[in-house]
Amino acid sequence: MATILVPKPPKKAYNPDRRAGTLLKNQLAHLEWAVRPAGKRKPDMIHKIKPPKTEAEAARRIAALTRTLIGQAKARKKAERARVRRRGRRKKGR
Amino acid sequence: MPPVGLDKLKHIVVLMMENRSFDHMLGALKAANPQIDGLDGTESNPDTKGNAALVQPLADFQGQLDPDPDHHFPGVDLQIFNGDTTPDRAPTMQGFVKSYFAQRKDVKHSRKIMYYFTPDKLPVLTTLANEFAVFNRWFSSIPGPTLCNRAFAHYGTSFGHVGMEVFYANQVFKSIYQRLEERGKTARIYYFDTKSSSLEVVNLLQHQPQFFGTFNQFLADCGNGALPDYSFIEPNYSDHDGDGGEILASDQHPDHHVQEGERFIATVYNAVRQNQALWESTALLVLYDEHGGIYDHVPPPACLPDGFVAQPDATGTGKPFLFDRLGVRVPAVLVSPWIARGTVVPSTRVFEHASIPATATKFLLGNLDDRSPREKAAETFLDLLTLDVVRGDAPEFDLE
Repeated sequence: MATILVPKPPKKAYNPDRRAGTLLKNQLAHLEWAVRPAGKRKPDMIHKIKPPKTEAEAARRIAALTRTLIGQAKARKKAERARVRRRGRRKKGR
Repeated sequence: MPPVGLDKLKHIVVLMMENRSFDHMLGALKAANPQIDGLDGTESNPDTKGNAALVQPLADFQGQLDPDPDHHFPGVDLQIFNGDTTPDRAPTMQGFVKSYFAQRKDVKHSRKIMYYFTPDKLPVLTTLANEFAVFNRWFSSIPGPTLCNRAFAHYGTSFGHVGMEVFYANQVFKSIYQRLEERGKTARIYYFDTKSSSLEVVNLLQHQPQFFGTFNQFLADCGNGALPDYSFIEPNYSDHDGDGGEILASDQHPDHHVQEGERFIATVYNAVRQNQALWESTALLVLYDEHGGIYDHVPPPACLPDGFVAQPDATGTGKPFLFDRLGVRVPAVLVSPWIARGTVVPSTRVFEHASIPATATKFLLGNLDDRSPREKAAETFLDLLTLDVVRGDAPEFDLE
């Protein structure tokens, strides 16, 4: 079968200043909610998060929050492993 | 004896794009292949002046569907039922133009919701549809927006949600990733990059980041033969700058450039295709999460209730929703060198996003009881790998 050429969009298609749509606003809100400590997550806070104006702003904030969220998850796992090790040492010491 | 292709199958890869209906993307294929349940050109919706707005092959890559067509629960209800709220109402698919008119109050503009692409504009998706298997009846799981529909692909349910505020704790049914990991299988969600991230934030990214990787890692995993048993790929959701310069959104969500999504689909396909061992042992499903408010002519059927109820304040229609009807039809194509060229999955077989975890579970784990009623009832699709000899005529895409 012949190779099929897949054209590139024109240069002008790139528009990081495009208004951020509902999907990005919701994604950002979910991330903002998830990085907060559990005690500070209130159901109505989701409506108070400052929505991003542009796609570029959404992307910047989403990247920062994603890094924070993954860092928090790793720290939780590390703490959990340490707890398990401590528990193991205590059992051996008995 | 299972078919040879199924016997050799090791990997399932799912690429889920954003917000386009079947008729909008693939409806034109009916002209060349009447088995495909697309458009014959006579389909129409009334506009708000009472004139018929016909489907037209005038869809453009960008700049046409702005504002973003309504695809939230009440909007989709209007699109499907045309404002009929009686108990015995039937889905007529006659309310799309009316729904789009409500956003800009511009009759001429509202008729653009009926536009569809000609195959020459979508060389990647239409080639894959013609060369492998295209589904006549793959519906979104809910007549609503992105996140609740994507939840069905990850969990086989949205836990009673019909909107974008999916703040559920995953206590009832486990995700396909967790199920697989707990039974010694491998699974990963590849998001495009950190600036695009994942839409599956609250449960998986927050608590189980071990399931995630970036698209660059997907490409490397394909090259190294290190692809997991099950992969789910998320496209890029925004135009943003990256290490290599300007990066265009590739999700095809209006008003993102559709050609960039075509290139993304081709990149995923090429990554699998270019490693012969991987190509022969992989089934790639390309589909869309929901219709994005864009016209499709097939009424979504009733389905088995999910066991959850969305209350009237959540649906926005004044009525509860019992998860007993599917959402609007979306494009779905299954790719494998073990699928006969030109396979059209008949209209008698109905698929929805719960078919994804249902298929992965059935193939990789066997029967598993602890799943949603919808997932347990969902059709699976790997029986489409019917050939005894691997195909050597698969298309190749050259990204200019």
